[in-house]
Amino acid sequence: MSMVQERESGGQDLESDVGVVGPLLIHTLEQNGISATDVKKLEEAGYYTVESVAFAPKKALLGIKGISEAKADKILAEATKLVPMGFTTATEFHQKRADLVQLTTGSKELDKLLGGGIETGSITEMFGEFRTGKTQLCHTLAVTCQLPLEMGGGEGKCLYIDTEGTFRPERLVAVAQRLGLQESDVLDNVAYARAYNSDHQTQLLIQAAAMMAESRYALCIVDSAMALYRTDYSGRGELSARQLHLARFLRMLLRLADEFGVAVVITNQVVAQVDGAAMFAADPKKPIGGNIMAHASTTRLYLRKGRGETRICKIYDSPCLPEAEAMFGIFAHGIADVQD
Amino acid sequence: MEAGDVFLHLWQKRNLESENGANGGPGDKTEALRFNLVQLYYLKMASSDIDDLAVLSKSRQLLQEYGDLIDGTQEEGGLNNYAEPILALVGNSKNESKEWKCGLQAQDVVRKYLTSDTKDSNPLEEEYNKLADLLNKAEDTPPPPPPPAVVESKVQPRMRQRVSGPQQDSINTYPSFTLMESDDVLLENTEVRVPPGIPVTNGSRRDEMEDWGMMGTSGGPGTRGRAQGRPYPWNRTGRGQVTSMSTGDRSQTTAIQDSRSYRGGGGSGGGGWRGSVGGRSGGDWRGRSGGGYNRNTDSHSGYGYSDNGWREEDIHEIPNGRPTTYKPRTRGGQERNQWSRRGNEEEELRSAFNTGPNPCFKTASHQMVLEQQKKFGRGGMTEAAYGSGKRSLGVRRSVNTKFVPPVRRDDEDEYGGELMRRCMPQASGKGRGVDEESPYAYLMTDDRLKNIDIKMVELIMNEIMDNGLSVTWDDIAGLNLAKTTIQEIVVWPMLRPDIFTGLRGPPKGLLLFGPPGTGKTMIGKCIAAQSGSTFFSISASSLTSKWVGEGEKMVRAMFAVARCHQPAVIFIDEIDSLLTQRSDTEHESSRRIKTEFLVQLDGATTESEERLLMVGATNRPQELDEAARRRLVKKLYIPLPEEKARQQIIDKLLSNQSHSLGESEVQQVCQQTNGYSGADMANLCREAALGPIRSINFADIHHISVDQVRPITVEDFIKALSIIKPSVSDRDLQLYEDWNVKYGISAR
Repeated sequence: MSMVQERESGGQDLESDVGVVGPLLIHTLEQNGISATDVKKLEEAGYYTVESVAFAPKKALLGIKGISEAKADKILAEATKLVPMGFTTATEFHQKRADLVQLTTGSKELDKLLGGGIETGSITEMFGEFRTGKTQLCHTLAVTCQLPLEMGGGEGKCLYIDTEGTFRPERLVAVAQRLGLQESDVLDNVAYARAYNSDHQTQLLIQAAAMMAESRYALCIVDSAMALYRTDYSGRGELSARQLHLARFLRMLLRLADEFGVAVVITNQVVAQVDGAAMFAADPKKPIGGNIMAHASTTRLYLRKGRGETRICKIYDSPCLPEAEAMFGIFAHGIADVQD
Repeated sequence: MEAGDVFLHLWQKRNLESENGANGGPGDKTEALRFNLVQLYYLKMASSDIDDLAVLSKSRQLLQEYGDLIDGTQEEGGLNNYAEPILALVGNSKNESKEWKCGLQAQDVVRKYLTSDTKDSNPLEEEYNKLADLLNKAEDTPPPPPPPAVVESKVQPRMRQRVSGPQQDSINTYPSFTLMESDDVLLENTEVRVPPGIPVTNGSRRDEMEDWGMMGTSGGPGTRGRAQGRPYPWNRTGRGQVTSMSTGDRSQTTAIQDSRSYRGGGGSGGGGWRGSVGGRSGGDWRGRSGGGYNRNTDSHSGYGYSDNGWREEDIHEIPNGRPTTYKPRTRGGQERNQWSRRGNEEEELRSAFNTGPNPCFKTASHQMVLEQQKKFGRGGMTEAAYGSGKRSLGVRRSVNTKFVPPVRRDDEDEYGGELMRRCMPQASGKGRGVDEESPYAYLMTDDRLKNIDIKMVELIMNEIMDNGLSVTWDDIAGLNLAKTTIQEIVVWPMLRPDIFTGLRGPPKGLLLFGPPGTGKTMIGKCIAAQSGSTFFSISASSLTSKWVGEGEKMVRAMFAVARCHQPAVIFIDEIDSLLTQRSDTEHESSRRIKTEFLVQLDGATTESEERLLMVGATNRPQELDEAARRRLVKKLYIPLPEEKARQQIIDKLLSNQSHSLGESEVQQVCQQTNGYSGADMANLCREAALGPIRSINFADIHHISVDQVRPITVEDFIKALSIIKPSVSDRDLQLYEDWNVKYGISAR
C-alpha cells in the first residue's frame, strides 16, 4: 500500500487528476530490459503488476516454467528498482497514512469507531453469529466504495466473492437509491462471483488480480471466507491442510491489498464454545479460523445484535484503534445510524 | 486423318479444360492432365504429321504439371497422396509449443472428403455410408435419411458450434452441468455397431485413459485444471494437438485429429479413399464426438463410457485392413501427453482462466437479471426477455470495463432504468432517508426548522392555499368597519413596513365573530387573495393526531413554517373548537394543543417584529379561552347585513340572471328581509331563481332553451320569502352584541 502511495505522490505530475494512480502494470518491465516473452510468461503465471513480481520470493518466480535462475534474478532486480521496498522515515509514512482512503460504512457512528471508515490496503475481518449484519454491511460497502473520495468513498469498483449464496443485487439498488446514485451503473461496477469450494475460492483470486490490473478497484469482499473451509475439511486430521490452504488464501488477499491498494473485507463465522472454558463469559462464541485468520487480518470487528434493528460493533483487534463499541442499524436502505 | 482429327478435337477440348481447371480440385486436374498425356500419345501414334519435338515438349510440360499436382504439398494445389503418413508424423512432432496451430483447416478436410471423387465406385463407400447413418442417428434423435455424398455447408457451422460451445463451457464448468448431462444421455443412447472383422487395438490407449482418469480423480487444483482446460479426449491418444488449452481453435485440433486418422494407412488409392467418406460422416462425427467428449469430462462414468464409444467409433472409421499404422502414432502421442501433463498445473489453471472475458465473474446487474429469470421463470414474452438478451450480447458493460462513476442521470429510457423498474417494483418512489430530495428539503436547512420532522413540515406546506380564489373587497357587501380595520392590519403594513414598526406594528391576532353566515370565512378568503402574504388555512383536523404529543408538535411545526414564510397569515376557521376555555375536565391532549398555541402566538420565543397574523373566525366567542382572547388583539364583530348591504347582495347575485326587478322592487324585498344574514339572502335568491323554472311545464323541460326561461320577477321573491326564513334568532344576536360591547371593537 505504501508503495502505491509513494508512486502516487511521485506520479502526480504526470496524472494531474485526483491521483488515482494504480499499480504499475507488468508491461513496464519491458522497458527495463526484460524481454516480452518473459513478461508474457509472468503474466500467464498470474503476475500482472510489477509489485506482485517485486513482492514475490525468488522461489515463486523460479516455479514459473521458462524462467531460469538468471532470468529470475534479473526480473527481481528490475522490479525492485521500480518498486520502492526499502526504509522510509516514520514521518513520511505518517504522511502517507494521512492520505489513506477510507471507505465509509454508511453509519457515522461506525465510521467514527473505525477512525474514518474501512481502511484500504489492509484486511478487515468481521465476524459475528448469524443475523448480525455482516452481509448487509458488505452490501452497503459495495455501494459506498463507488462514491467519490470527498463523500467517503473509494471511487472504484467492487469485487464480491460470495460463498454462501447471499448476494442480493436488490440490496445494492436500495443503497444506491438512498445515496442518490444511478442504480444501473452501481450494479455494473460490482463484479460478482460465486465460489463453490475452497479451491475455487482461491482461483477466483487469481482472476481477481487480473481484473484489478485492468480497472480501478476499491474494495474486495469475500463474504464468508471460512464457510467453505468449514465443510471442505473436516476433523482434526485435515486441520493442518485446512490451515495451510487458508494461509495461502489469506496471503493472496494480502497481496491484493498491497499491490492494488484495495480494501479487503472478509466475513467470518463463529463457533460456540461448549466446553467449560468460557462458561462464565457473556457470549461464549469465538471466531473460527484459528490463529492463521487471527494474525492475517489487520482489523477484526465483532458484531452482535442489539434491540430490534440495531446492531453493536466492537473492535476486537486493531493495530491502532482502541477497544470501543458503536451502534448502527440495518434498514431497508442499508446500514445507517440508529435514530432515536 | 479422320482419326487424327477426332483425336485432335478431343485433345483440344481436354487441354482447354485442364488449363482452365475451374472445375473440381486437384483430383480433377490431375485426371485431366493424365488424359491429356494419353491423348497426346495416341495422337502421336495416330497421325505421323505431328512433329516429335512438339509432342515431347508438350508432354514434358504436362508431366511437369502433373508431377507438381501429385507431389504438391499445398492443400489446394496438390493431391499429395503418397507422402501423407510421413508428413503426418512430421507434423505431429512439431507440437512443442502451445501456439502451434495446424495449418489444415476444417473446410479443407470437408472439401477433400466430400468432393465428388466418389465418381469411381469405391467398395468402402458402403461402409462409410453406414457409418454416416449411425452417426446421424446418434446426433439427431430421429435419424434423418442418409444424405447424398455432397458437401453440405451446414456441417461446417454445426461442427463449429458444437465445438466452440463446449469450449466456453469447459472453462466455466460449474454452471454448465445441465448441458453436460443431456449430452451424456445422447451419447449413451448411441448404438455403435462394430463391423465384424475389425480388430480392437486399445491396449495402449486404455492405459493412457486410465492415467487421465486418475488425474481426474485426484483432488485439489489438479482436477480443476483438468476439468476446465482438459483437452479433448482424442488428444489424449496423441491423435491431435495436445493441451492447447489457452487458445481457442478447437476445431483445428479436431480437424487434425480426424484427418490424421483418416489419413491412416498406406496408399490404397489415397485420394479416392479420402474422397469417399460419405455424406456428413466426417464433419458430423468429429463435431458430435467433440461435443460429447468435452461435456463428459467431468463425470467419470461418462468418461469411461465415452471412451468406450469413441473407441468403437474410431475403429469404425478404419476400413478393413489398416490398423497397422495406428500404433506408432499412438505411442508417439502418448509420450507427448505425459510430457504435457507434467507441466505446471497452476499455469494451466491460469491459462484456462485467462482466456478472453472473465467467465467466472459477472457484474451484479447480470446476476440480477439471472435471478429475475430464475424467480419469474424463463420464456416469458416480456420486456425482461428482451432486456436480458440485450445484455448477454455483451454490448453493455461487462466485468472488464472501467469504473463508471454512478452519478445519477435523468434519462430513464435507458436499459438500466427499465431494469430497475422491473426488478424492484416496490422501489419506485424515493427512499425516506434524510438525504432525500424532498420538495421541501430547502426548508430543512433553515435553522428555525431544525428540530422539526420533515413529514410534519410537508403536511403543513400542503395546507398553504394557492390563492386561486380571487375574492375582492367589493365582493363583500357592507361591513365597512371590518374592511377598513382589516386593511389597516393586513394590507398597509405590507405596503409600508417602515411606517408600521414598533408601536405601530400590526397586531398578531384578529378575531372575527358574529352570527353564522355573515361573511367571516369570506373575509378570510379575501385576505388570502388580497394580502399578498402566505396564507395558511388550518382546521382542527390538520393539527390533531392519534399519537400522544403529535398535536402540539404539529402546532409548533406550523408556526415555525409560517415564520419561515413571513409575512404569513394563519386563518383558523371555527377557532372555538380549538381554543375553548381550559378546564379540568377536558382531555389532556386538547389542553396541550391550546397551551402550545398560546405559547407560539405570544410566548417566550416569539419576537415582536414577526409578521405573523393569526385570524380566527367563530360563532361562539364567549367560549374562547381568556388567554386566547388576550392574544387575539382585534376582535371584530361581523353583524347581520343592513338593508343597504342586503340590497347590494341581491344586486350582485341577480346581475348574472335575467330579471325584471326594478330598484324599488329590490328595496321592497330588502325591507321584508330584516334579520336575514348574508347566507340567508343568497338562499333567498336561489329560491327565487328557481321560480321561473317551476312555472315551466314539466313536459317542455327537455327541449326548452335558456332564453325561453322567463326572467325572475318580484313574485318569485315574495314566494321565496315564505320558504326561506332567517336563521339567526334575536336572542343569539343579543349575545353577540353584549360580547362585542365587552371585548370587541364597538364603533360607538
